[in-house]
Amino acid sequence: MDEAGRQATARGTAGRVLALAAGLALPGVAALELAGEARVAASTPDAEAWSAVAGEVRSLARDGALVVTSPRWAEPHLRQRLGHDVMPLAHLGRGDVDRFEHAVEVALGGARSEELAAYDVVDERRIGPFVVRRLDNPRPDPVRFDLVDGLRPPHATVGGTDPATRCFWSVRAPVVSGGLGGHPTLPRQRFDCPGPVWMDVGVTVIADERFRPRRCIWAHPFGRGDKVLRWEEVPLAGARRVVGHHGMYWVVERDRLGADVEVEVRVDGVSIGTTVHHDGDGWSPFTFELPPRDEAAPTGTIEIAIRTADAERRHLCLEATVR
Amino acid sequence: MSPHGISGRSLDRIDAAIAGGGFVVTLAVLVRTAPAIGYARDEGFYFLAAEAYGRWLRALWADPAHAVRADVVDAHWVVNHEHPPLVKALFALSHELLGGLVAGGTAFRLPAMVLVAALVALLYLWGTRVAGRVAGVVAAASLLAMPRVFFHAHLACFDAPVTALFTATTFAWWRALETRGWRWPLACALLFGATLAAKHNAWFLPFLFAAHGAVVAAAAWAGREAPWPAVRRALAVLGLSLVVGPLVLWASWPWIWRDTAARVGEYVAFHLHHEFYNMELFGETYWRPPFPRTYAPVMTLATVPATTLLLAATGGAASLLAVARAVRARVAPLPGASPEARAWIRVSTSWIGGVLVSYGPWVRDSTPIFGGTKHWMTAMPFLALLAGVGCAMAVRAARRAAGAGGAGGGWRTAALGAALAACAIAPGVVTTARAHPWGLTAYTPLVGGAPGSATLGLNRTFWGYTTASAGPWLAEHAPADAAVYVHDTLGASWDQMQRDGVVPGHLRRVGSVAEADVALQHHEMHMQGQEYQAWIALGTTRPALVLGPDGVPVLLVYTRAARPR
Repeated sequence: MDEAGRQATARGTAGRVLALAAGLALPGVAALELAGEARVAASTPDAEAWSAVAGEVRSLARDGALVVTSPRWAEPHLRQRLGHDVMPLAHLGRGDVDRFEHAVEVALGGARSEELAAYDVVDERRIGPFVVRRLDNPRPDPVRFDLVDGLRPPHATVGGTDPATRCFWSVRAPVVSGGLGGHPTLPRQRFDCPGPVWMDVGVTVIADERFRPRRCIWAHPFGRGDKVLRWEEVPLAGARRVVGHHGMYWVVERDRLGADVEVEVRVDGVSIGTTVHHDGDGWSPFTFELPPRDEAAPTGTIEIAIRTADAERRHLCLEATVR
Repeated sequence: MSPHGISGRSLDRIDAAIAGGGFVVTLAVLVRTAPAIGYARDEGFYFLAAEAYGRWLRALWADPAHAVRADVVDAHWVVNHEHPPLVKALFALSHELLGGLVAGGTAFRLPAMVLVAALVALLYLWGTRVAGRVAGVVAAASLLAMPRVFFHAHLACFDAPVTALFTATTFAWWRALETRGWRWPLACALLFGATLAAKHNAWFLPFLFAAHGAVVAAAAWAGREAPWPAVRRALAVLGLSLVVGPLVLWASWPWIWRDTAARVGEYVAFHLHHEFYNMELFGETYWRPPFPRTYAPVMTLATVPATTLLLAATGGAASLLAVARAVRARVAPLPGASPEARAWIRVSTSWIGGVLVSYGPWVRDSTPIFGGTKHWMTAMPFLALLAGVGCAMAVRAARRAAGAGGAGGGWRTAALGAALAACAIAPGVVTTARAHPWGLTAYTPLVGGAPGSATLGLNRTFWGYTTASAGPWLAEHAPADAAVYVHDTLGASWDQMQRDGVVPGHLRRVGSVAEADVALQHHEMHMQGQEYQAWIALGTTRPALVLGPDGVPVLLVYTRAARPR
């Protein structure tokens, strides 16, 4: 065979190999795709399966355990069936997982909760397509007093310092929502403060930098002076720390255009720490140590003072607990 | 033309019948499946525009002199003037003619569905002409079996129509270079104009034609022929298109009849400086540049059936092999590339060029990604054509290996061809059928379908069209005078759904979740804040309804815990 013939043969061979490879691979690829579709369809829990696992979770979580799904996107199915008794808003909008002693995880397809990675699995069982785990927190940091829960009269007040103002508690304030990119919903029960409605103070839920829910106190700083949230008769005997978080709806702070917001925590009038929220920080933790306490004074006053140099769209939302 | 021995064929009446049948079946399927897909956000804008243009068209019919006055033109064509007119005008005509016979929304949508059905027929004819009926059938079916294409094919939007027109223009370009005379060049120019008048993707066609014209000239050189006739022909067709195309755009767009330069500049500026919207990829929401360059390839792998991609890669590789062989043959002291090989190179490189020019903008990390896969949908027909050829090659190779002969009759030959064609198409058909009507949540088994994609953090939906899926539940459970927060569904889209009976007509649409008795929530990562707003406003975190494919929540419905006192 001369050179021309060899080259012609080589040219034809490459194409034939390509075509044959495609012909051999095609049925296999098709079979894999069809099998994949079948697998997805077969592994999807139906309504009965969700109801069955919900019943199991209800009994496992009787002690107030945190209930999560893995993957997270499946959570609405469980919320639909379990409701607020087993999955209360305080759990859904949790500031952290340290505060819980126990958790129940409902898992699909081998998924595991990263959030509960430090927890110990003490029981695991299969319920239909689910794996249900009971987990214990090896180092729980339980909450002695939740300032979010305590934000109401007679023990809580809100006011401003410049000028000195007082915000009045309302149980029938008009509910206001900011829409996409706007402020969170201001609830019916809240402190009515001077100025636009977003100056009011109340408990709401924001979406953090991962768009996860965070239950917190909406406390947009005033244009001047401090906005001061004050709780009286807070049980402090034996307490060691104030632990909290601050953040904003991520859509507001992600452009990193807003002014810093200072958050100062005072106990009985004495500052125990100041933290600063910078745009882009996301849901940020803080921990301030409590000074030693006289046994004769088991309760005290906690104040949170919020201030900023420029109050333009400062959607601060914070939560704090005594631990 | 002969990609590795595959022979094309002259089209005959049987092919015309098959193409016609493909058109009819495609249209019937789209019309039949359309009502389950609610009206997308952008459709609402185009309904309003079509209604305005329809009023103008009626005025034009009744009193042309009055209708073409500047104030009259502006009053009607100002609506949605940031987008060109052709497709909206077709929506208007269809709605005028058929609005009383079918649901209003379907009447608006029909032109898009007709164009897609015509595209399916064109793919059959083009694929068959190049590489036989297996190629034609697989090309046509593969397009429709792409779940995202199937979804967009239903909508009164621009993406499916511009995909059809983009392909038709490329087909006309190819015919113009393969033939003599003026008919195909004129057709190419007119179709280019129509594509310009459909959507701005059309502006990439001249780049495709310029590059392809160079390839055609090079193919002539590879065949030891003078390239200049090919160059002159390409330049002539391109030049004619660049003159006629904009004229067609101008003639079809009353808004730019006057103040042309300023208004065209405004149109260009709108698209060059388009606002960025949000899009999720692997759990991150991107809202401004830099956008991940991996977005286009990842989403293609995740949404186009693997069999189609495998076969398209085969067809594309066959093209590149032919190009390499032709160049080597020309350079070496060998006879040049054969006429059949050159013909294959000419057509296949137009397809590859169509793919590359459609994806090209996403090489830059400043190109928006918020539209998802529809951004590069104009590539899909060319991928389907390459897949058709890839399948034809695979069938031939399999027949030879099985001893059934490279061509010819016999039931074994036919069965082998049918089996491989079925392998090519079946996975896409199954994925598409299972995903319907959640088209934008359709992901292939490669990423674990909808559940796998949700776990990976891929976008689940946008445009608020899934409201239609809650229609039956709303009809049964929503109180008679309920105020409904429709979230991402555009008001005009919701209103059309009410007119068409997709959602109950007695419900009141409200603009804030705080005013609502019922709140819809269309899942998008960056919109999660609005779900939490609903929790507080309605006093519940317990959804009354959770809907989505394969258990993945896409649409949630919340109802107020108790009416406020």
